[in-house]
Amino acid sequence: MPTVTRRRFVIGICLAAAIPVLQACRQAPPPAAQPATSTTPQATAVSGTTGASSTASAATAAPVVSTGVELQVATRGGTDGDIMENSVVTFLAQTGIKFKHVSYGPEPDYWSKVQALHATGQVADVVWASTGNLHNFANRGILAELDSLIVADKYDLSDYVPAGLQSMSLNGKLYGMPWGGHPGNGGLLYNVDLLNAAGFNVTEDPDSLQNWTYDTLRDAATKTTTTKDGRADVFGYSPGTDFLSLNNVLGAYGARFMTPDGKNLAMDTPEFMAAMSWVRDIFMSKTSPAPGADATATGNTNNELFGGGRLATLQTQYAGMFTPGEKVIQGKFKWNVGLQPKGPAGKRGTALTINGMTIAASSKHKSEAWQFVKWLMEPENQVPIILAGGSRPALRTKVLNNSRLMAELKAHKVFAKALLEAEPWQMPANFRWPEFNSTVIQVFGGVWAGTQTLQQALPEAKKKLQDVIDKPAID
Amino acid sequence: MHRRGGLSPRAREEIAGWLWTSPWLLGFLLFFFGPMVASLYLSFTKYAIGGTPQVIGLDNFVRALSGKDDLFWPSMGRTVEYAFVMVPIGIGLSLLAATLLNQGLKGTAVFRTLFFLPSLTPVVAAAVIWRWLYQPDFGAINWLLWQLGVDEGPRWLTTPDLALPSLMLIALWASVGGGAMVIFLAGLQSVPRELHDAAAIDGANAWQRFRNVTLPLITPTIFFNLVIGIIAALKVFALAVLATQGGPNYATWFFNLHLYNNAFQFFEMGYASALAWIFFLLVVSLTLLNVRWSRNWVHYEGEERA
Repeated sequence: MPTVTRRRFVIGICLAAAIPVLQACRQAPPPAAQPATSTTPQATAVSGTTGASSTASAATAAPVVSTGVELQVATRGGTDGDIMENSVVTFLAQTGIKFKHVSYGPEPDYWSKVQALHATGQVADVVWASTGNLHNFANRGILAELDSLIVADKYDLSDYVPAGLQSMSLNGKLYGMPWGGHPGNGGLLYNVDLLNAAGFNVTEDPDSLQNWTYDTLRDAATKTTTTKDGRADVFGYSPGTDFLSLNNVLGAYGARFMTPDGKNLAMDTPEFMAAMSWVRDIFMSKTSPAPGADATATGNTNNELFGGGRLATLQTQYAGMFTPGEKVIQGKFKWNVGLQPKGPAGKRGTALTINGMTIAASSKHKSEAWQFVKWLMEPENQVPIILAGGSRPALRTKVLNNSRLMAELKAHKVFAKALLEAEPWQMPANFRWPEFNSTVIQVFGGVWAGTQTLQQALPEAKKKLQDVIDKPAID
Repeated sequence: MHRRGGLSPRAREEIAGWLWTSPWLLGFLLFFFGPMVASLYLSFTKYAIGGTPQVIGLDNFVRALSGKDDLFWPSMGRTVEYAFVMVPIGIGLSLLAATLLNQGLKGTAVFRTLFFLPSLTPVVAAAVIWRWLYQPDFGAINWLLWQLGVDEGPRWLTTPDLALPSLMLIALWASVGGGAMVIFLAGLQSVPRELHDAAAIDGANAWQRFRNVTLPLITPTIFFNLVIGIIAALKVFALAVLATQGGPNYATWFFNLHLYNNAFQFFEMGYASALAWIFFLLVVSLTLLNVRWSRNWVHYEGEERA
């Protein structure tokens, strides 16, 4: 037997190690849906197709065959994961198709894991994906287009909100079902007691904020801000400073960050300056807590402040009706979630932000995966999930107008209306939404901190944001 | 010599040795060396996870070093600045703490535990706690300042000029009483007592004994802490993610945060791999410089010099 020298042993180990490493690094994307050639998210021409009525549970009505294999559905965990753990059990009982829920962990790592597992052909059959990265993944062939499945199944889309489908589409093809939607960061958590004490006549009915304008909100912020022994005690309002939060204010002023095609900035307008100045004034007047590291208004300490009755109003999403929620507030004061006001443009700023349910291009069981996605979209399956506080409503009228949701969720009626009226999602044409958002948060940091005026920050801000838009699409 | 199966005892012993170490070797090759080789290859490609790497030569390195990526040099500079401040202060305070604990005073064990506790705090918990402490309106630090007559305390983490020093303070709190202090303590306790006694008999005061006896004898310990401290400081990442997310206005956008964001938020894995290799070369270069420089000031026991 030949002598095993150290050198030979190490070489052998290196070779043995190199094989799986190279195998892992080898790019073998599974057969994918044809990547879109254009990079601009566009409206899909989706309308009601013939076939199954969406009034019945399509999943239970459709003929399904148990595959004998366990399929997977991936979420980012948390409440979405809890929902899915329960959903797969019910779905199995109703259809005989077995799904296993797998959590890929919270964002942003969730997105890397989806890509890594796609690269190795191991990604789940059904994948939770929200606007932003959904388009990026669709463009790169990670997600399957759903139109062929919909046509084959004669699935009726007439009940769906067109803007919801549009926000899940790329180049006319649908890549996700609009499972849970926000009208952007367009919610306003409000403390009824604090506002009434300051002379504002509001009730737990969010319609009582219906006629508020941005002037009213600023006035309310000023009048509800109080001090105790010379120190801040209650703050009036806390806005977010991320893209979606600012976009909400911008929209109400008739402004936007970028052109509709997502290829150029649209910041050189008086409306843009007015909207951003409104936010800055809120911080400078100290009617808001200092902006924090987490740019969403509900991050940092703001949820705790609102739950503790020390913040009168707070910019939020649909999810604001659950977080911090009555579990934290425990009847200490009356509260609800309304909508951010209409602005000088006579409208509210919106951009549909949707958690979509998608099917992986690599799935070998697309038909069964589609049955599950379709099942998740059914009103009778959606409503209990929403009431449990785990999800946002699907973008379909039968869910938005659901009488049980209207009766049991105090804020649902205003959000349902806002979701029906909301504008489609907007993002850079190169799909670099996370980078654009990150840049927005950074470049205006000095403005909110008061170390820069808006005019001082704008040149560098525009340069950096345009740099992001000008980059090639990720491929 | 008795042979069994054609192998000498030495060969059998050698094979057994390799087999016993093979779990570690395999782990190292598969999970460290393999990915390193892969990232070296990826650094020469345009690659998003799940896509097909396209070889683009040195473009990623040119993009970084030429300033085309306008966050590369500022993030590098900020990281070096952070290390430049943190390392000397951290080592100095750790040495001071260790020296105090080495005096044999009553309650030393209690203080040693107290000093060490912050280093056991998970960085996530530390960031949350300090975010509350720094909170300008309700935080304890500004409350204390208010008690001292400062009407409006600073916005610690949200003012660009203050964010970096504020993060440094958190890092110092977490690290001064940690591993470096314990290593210094071990180093101090290994200094022979008789040398101190001899110096005292010769009339040296406490400072002179520390300066001329203790310090030279613990230079290997200082050197070790210096190398480890520089590497740790250059790797600053978690605190910035958790406490400031790199802001405001990129004030705490460190190199590793830039790398992480490019890899996992912006999906530019090829470029991020190039950044990782630039960082690796920086750390290796600084460590080699340190080793070379150490020949001038580090004294090892029993060492003979020409």
